[in-house]
Amino acid sequence: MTMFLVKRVLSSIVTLFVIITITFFLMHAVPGGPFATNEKLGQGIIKAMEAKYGLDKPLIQQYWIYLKNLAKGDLGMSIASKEGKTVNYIIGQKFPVSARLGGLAVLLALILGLLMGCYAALRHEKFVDRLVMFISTLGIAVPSFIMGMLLLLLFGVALRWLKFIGLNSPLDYILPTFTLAFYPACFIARLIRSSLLDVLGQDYIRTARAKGLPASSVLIKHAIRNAILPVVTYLGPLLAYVLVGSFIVERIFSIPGLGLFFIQSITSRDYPLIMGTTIFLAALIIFMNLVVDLVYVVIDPRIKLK
Amino acid sequence: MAKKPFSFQTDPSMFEPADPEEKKELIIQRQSLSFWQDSWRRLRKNPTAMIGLALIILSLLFAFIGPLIVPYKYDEQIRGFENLSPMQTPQERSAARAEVPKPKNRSEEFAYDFDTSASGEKTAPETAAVELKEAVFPHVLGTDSLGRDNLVRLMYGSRISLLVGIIASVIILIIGSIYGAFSGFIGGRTDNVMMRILELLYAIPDILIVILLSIVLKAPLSQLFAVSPALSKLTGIGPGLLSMFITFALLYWVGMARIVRGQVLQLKEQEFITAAQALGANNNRVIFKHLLPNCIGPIIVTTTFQIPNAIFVESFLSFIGLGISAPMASLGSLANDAMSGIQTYPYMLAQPAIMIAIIILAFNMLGDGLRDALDPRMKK
Repeated sequence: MTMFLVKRVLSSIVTLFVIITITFFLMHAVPGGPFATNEKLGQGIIKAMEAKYGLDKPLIQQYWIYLKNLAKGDLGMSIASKEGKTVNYIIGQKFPVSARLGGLAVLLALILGLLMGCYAALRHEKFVDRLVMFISTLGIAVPSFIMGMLLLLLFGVALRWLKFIGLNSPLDYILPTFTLAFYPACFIARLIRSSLLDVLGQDYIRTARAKGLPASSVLIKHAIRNAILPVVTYLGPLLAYVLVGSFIVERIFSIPGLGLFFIQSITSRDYPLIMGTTIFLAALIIFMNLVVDLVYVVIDPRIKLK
Repeated sequence: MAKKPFSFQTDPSMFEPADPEEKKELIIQRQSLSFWQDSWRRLRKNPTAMIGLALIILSLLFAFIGPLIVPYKYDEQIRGFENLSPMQTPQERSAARAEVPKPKNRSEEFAYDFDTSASGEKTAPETAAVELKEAVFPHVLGTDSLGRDNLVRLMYGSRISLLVGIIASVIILIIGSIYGAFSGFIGGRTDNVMMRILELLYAIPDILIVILLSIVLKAPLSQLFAVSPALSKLTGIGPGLLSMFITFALLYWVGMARIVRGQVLQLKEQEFITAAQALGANNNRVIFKHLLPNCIGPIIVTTTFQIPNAIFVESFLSFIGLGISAPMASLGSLANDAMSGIQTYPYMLAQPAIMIAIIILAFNMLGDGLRDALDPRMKK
């Protein structure tokens, strides 16, 4: 167990380090640099600005400084924001909005997916099963941002039931959360359906029934507990999906979160902010994958530790 | 002689020689089918896959033949024809506007006057030509804010998206299958190192790196295309598309490589490989002549699933403002343009959104069918 833990943590650190390196050198490979597009600035000002942000030093030295700052948790200064905010401050401001939306979406996806999957498995080969399979095939095939646009057109523009800009009242959460949760919910429904069908055919379920347990307790205590394991493995990719999906959903529904800000910083060429956000999100995804792997080993003793 | 009941006497009619027709009936062996005939037979029985195939053919026709029929061009801006709703002509719109009470605001009134005079600025033959086209072919899906025909832009957008999907998948196919085949076939330490690299790539959140790469590649590629205009003429693609292909070539072959490696590991122990090696075939020949052709089923299935994936990534990037550059359009950039006018012109967003949904759904449906047809073992 300790061996596995050490190995897994080390490989996560290596992956993160590779991402930091790739991000750093990619962003510094862009010709012109962040101040080149602003023609109003004179040569002297550009020199002074580059000196201020340490861009006049050799690349390797800059890389070393960046790594040292990163180790302290400092992601640098945002160049485009006029007040000279740090990247940490911006992430601290914007990320909670995205995190709240993402958390709600994960919750909704789990609940919806579990309900749909279990119901389909219990009504195997009946109408409900076919309906769930049809909806989930559709939900997996159609990308979430198309789904978001169509939902927006239907409920926001055509029917005018819901507002679609910003997040001011609890009702505003409905459309973006549903958009973000629909794909993972469909995926989870399929996972649960196939693993539950598998589990329900096992001998120990028959034993549980034979000794007279009520159907609900057979399902909840014996079947779902075992069928839920694949969903745990899916939690890592689910989180990555929700984080990346927030770029699109926040753009569609004009939500002032980190995703929307990231897209805007692409157009304003705010390199430290792009780098900082990328590294932050990548670290988050890698960390969650690590946690999910560890949790999986803990809850399923059958997994062999390599 | 009639046979008596219950007697053991044999019936001589049973021992008469069979005529040729009777012989033919007894042959129960069916015609032998090649791998492709057999797969096609299975695929044809699958209605979902056939609907998917039909939708793909229709959208290919729409994207590649459609622009030849519609008389407008994707970058043709017709003044006075801005923001028409589907099937509307400017005359109808003027009539509809005249019914609305006149605006009280002075500047609005001026804008209104300017709007109608815009079409009057044209020289007589130009207006006549536009009107002729209009009579033959109305703006079926309306026009955008610059007076460009939405139908043609949708066709070109689908063309770009389909091209990106197909070319990117071919790139993935080539890199992924060669990498996977070599890794699996050589084995040992080489395989180990190659698989570590692959795992590392797999752990990197791909969309983040794709976004970074598109930002980074856009500037140098634009310069490259500005320096040598022959390049863009030769290839017919812009810097946005080229950077997209490069990102696909760098990142997305991982899944394909894993699948091919798994297949090769199974196949390389079989006798026909030993036989080929005994006959003196070198590694390259064994891989390209014997191993890869035997992996063709999984390779085709994976490629079919890669196409919608690539289309999705392309429209994702174009939607957040990276990717393709104006005046060319892809389905993602059309949706991006339409976001600003969503309340006034919702149909402009609906058109590309529905088109992307249809294309991606169709490839997924076909992919599911192909998986069942080409590789029955993979069927769940």
